[in-house]
Amino acid sequence: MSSAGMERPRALSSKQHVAFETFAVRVAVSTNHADVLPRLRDLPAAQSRPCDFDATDHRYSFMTDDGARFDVRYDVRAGKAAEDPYDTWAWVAGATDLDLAFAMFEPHLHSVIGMYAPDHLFIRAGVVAHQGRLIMLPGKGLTGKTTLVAALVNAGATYYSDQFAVVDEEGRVYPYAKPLSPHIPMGGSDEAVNGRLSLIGQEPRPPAAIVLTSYLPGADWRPRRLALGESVLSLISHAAPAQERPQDAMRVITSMMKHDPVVLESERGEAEAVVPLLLSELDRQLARSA
Amino acid sequence: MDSLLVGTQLLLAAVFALAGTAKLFDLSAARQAAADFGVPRRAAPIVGVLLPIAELATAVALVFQPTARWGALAALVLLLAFVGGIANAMRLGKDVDCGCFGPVYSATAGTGALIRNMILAGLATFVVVDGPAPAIDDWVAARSAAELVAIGLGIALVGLAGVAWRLRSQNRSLRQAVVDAPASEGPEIQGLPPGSFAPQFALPDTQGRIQTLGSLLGRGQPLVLVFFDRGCQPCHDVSPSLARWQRTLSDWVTIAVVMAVSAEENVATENVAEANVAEPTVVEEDVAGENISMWDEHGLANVLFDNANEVAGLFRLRSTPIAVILDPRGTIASTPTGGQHGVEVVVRLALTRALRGEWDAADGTTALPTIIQVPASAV
Repeated sequence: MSSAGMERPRALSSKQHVAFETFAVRVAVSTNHADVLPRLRDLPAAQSRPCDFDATDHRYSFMTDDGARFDVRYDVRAGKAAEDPYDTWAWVAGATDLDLAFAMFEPHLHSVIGMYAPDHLFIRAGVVAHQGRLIMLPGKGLTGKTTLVAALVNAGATYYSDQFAVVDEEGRVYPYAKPLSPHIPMGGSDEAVNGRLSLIGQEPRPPAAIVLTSYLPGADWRPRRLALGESVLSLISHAAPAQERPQDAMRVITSMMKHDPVVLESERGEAEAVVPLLLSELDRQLARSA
Repeated sequence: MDSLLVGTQLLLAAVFALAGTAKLFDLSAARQAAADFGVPRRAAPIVGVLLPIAELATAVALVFQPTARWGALAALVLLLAFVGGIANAMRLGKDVDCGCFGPVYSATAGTGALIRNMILAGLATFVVVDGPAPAIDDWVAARSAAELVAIGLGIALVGLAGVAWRLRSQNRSLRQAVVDAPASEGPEIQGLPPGSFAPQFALPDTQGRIQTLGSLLGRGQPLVLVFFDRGCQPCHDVSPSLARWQRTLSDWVTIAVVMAVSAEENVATENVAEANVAEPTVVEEDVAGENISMWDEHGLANVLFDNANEVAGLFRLRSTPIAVILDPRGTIASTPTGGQHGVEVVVRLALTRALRGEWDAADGTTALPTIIQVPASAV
């Protein structure tokens, strides 16, 4: 793929948009460039059900004058009609190439959905289900969540999400899946890999295990089981709207902890090497809990 | 009739008192207005001072019954002079600031000011012809309490109506200004255009060794340059994550921090000659304490000192923290993005592209231009 900065303009004859609803948050994205709309399909939020543009509360504008530099803006008034001339659009990305514009747009979109989803809490975490048990992998950005999720899927787990655990009031985790990046080493033939990735978890489940881990080259897997208080504090630090909706975050995390998940913490080395150790440790801990 | 005369006299007195007092607070504008209305240059400074004094004297004269007619006559003369001056300016097409009420209110001398002064002149004529009104204390004594209250309320109402009218006009003009304003141009565009060659640089690191763009690209990996300033809190906030990414992503992406230092902190380095480059920028000595706490605390590696933001200037970057991707050939591969969150986005994008194999064809040797753009201070 060539750099977006060198692409020729592919202007649309008129502005187009997609509108969708996910977790009761209605979002629209308008654009005047043909390359934008197909890329929206990869976003987990966009996989939700379509909705009427006029009913959307949160609107993004993804515009370019020359096909090389894109401006992404967000309507901060969350859906109120623009009846006065004042500029109410906030900048998400200004004059950036398309890749970078999407890289800025995507986390902004997720944070907006996480902020305004009335009945769900977004926690930064990878999520898989293995042998019917849901495993959450909370972690900050670029700490190896996606790689570990891919390794677990490769080991037979069902894919839920590599970015966010979406948790309801009863402490159940919902899928929030986007196609895993093709760069993640999965092993096996393309067909086998695609087959595994297409098996996205559908059923919300309470977490059986929560593993707080991040990649550090050469680190040993030395899991430590966290007490309830430590677990709650760790999860709060990964909850997307913890500062804006602390009571909601606390309530949902408390509900989640009522399912008595095993909570482990450790640095880790290479994902493929850690997965069998992680799964056997979970077997041991869960057997002990049972 | 008596009430009408009293009201007219007091109105004129108030107008002249306000005009005279306001002009006294901005005598330079009063002198300028006199000159603009055609008063000879040499006389304008005197007129500019005498005019507010005359206006105040007129106001005082209008208040007292024995002098009220003389005051009205003086007001009439002044107002006719103003009318003449404004009419003359309009005839000549001059865009003159009337300076009528000094810093309190002023507008271009035009039809509005002309009409206002003619109305006031008419009121002054009325007092000259039919005045004077009875002394104010006699007039007040002849009024009942209810009449006085009603008059007071009426005056207040008229005053409030005037203020409301003025606010409405201001609101209308402000809204119109918003409509007429050019569309927002968005954030200031920073950075060199993607696809262009990155400028060469040679900067000392925390050990005093010289690091060049070529040496940073030597591993055949993309390079993320993160521009920092020690005084910027978001730079401090992102440092722990950045140090971690330098360790965990080192197989795919090289991350270097370009730290701005001021010219006063520039200290010559003995390693410069060994590096066979023109003297680059700086080796920290006197500022080492503060800087060391920043990079040692978090284990930041590849920290380079940029004297007086010269390398940042070559990359056309003006804010911090801000990050930009260079491909393994030294070509700008992204527009720069700033802020704590933006740095993570840029690092993630560089990693994604590296893992996609976008730059696999690069052999690690650069196609950099032969012109070496070391900072100006280094030449």
